[in-house]
Amino acid sequence: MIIILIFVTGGVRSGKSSFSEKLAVQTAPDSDHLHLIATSENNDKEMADRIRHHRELRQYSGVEWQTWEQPRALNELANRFNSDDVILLDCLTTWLSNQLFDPGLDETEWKREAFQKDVYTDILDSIKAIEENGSMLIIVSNELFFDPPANHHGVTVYLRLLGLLHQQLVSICDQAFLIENGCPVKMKG
Amino acid sequence: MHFVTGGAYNGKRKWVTGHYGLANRSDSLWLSAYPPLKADILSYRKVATLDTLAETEGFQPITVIEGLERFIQQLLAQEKNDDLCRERWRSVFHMWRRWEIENNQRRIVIIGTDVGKGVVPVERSLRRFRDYVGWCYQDITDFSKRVDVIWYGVANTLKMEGK
Repeated sequence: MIIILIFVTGGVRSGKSSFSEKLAVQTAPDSDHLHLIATSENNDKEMADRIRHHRELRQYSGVEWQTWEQPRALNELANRFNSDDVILLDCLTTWLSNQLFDPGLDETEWKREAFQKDVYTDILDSIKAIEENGSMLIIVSNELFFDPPANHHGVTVYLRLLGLLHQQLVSICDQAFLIENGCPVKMKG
Repeated sequence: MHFVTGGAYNGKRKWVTGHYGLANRSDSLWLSAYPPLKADILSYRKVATLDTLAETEGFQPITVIEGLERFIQQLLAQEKNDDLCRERWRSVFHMWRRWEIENNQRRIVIIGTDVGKGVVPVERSLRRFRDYVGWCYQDITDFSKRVDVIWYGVANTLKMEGK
């Protein structure tokens, strides 16, 4: 069976990224075909530190990644990949928040249902486009659904969209993993 | 009784609808603690209050009770005595089970969102809410013949009596 799309999720600091990176390194024929799409936007010190932390971890692994820093509009990257490429997308949660709460748009845009639908469709279409061009796409996301209901409308809209994306990704992916304390639990495939 | 749980927005409602083939059967009743969403295809969903949960004479062979966490929160707001809250839920669960055993074609499906794995809430009432939801879910798991956790549409069966 050819494995093309892999969905990985877990709590914060559960080892999702390390697991996904290892999987990508094992699969790629060589580092020329190892790509990372980093969706975090580097706009404050904490995020800069987190990005540096992930960069250092990747350096220790001794592998050179082709890194694409792309906070939104990931479809623009799709034609950069070819059929030997293994692509790691880290992560869906920041990508969704960058698209939904885009500072370049009107600040109430996220409240519009048609816009929410567009964001959902756009993300799924971009994933399909990247998946079609590469040999394997690993998508990392986060478990965020276990708090009492949020009082903030923005949080509710965000969680609902993220939950719908996760459901759709689990239904179309070849394998899905939930990472608990560094241990992968295979949920599908 | 069949208890269906899992995190928010994980597809619990969709799973129940599919598992019981509710779109194609007319002998079901769906009582929800939440108002229907605009995009909702389930026109038979009814917004219910705490009191209607005890009115088993109006139940259908398949009765779904959605939003147990919300119903628990509503009772907590009314009932300040902590011990009584849990007892009252246990007696409701008893009543549901009695109704179910009267006829083996009957099934009550309860959907409850897991709200116990996040950050400890700052607000006292929310902490109390989380505690009670946890206790009630343990109780209803005891009462239920089957328990499933739904993870983005994938069911993991925690308990299945008779198998």
